[in-house]
Amino acid sequence: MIETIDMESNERLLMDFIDGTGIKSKGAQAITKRVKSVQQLWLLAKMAKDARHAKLIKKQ
Amino acid sequence: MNNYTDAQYIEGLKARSPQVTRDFFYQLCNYTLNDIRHSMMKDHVEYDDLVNELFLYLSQHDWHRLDTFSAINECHLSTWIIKVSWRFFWKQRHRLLGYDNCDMDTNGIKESETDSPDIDIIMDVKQTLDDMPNRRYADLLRKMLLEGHDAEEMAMLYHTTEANIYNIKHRAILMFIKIYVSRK
Repeated sequence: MIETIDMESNERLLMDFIDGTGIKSKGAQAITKRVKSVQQLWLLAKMAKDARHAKLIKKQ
Repeated sequence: MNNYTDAQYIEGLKARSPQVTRDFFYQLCNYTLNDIRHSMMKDHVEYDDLVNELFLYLSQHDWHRLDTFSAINECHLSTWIIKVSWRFFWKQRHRLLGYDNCDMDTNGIKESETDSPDIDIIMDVKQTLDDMPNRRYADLLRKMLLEGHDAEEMAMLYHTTEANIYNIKHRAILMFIKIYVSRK
């Protein structure tokens, strides 16, 4: 299921998306277009939440 | 906490350094593994079990999986491991939670659907949808992801184009993530 938004070729894209740096890019639109289930949306939100936390820790 | 660089983490893991390995799994991965343990595994799995599973996965073929990180510049190991961990444990969750042997009916739906870990996920998503200030965005996500309407159907329903539906969906997902990240 998650493979549809998490292909290896899009690894960087997904990481940019979840850590917020590429959230407004065209690539980000490609990711959201592929979100087709509640579970995918939840996983994306979870990964983004953890990435934000990791960013905060790094800044400290 | 030791402030290892990403390269030092990778080098230490591959060299089987006990200190680096401990810091990697018990400090760098701590927040994510605890989140996975709590929200995906419902605390039915111990933290050490998750560490064990992730260690076995990453260390296969002389830590080959880490090489897929090395190939990507300008991203941090702390972000990469979040994606890898969630993806890995998502695939493993039914086995780890003991759902492997559940009987399936002809539609492929578990007979004891109420026991499914996805119920909590759906509730979590619904709660966030309820919290979204833009009701149109929430309504679109509800219809597309919960009720299964495709973009073509949504375009007819909203009297707009499919391309515009994808634009709205994109903005809706960004808002969903913003709300989700801020409310937890």
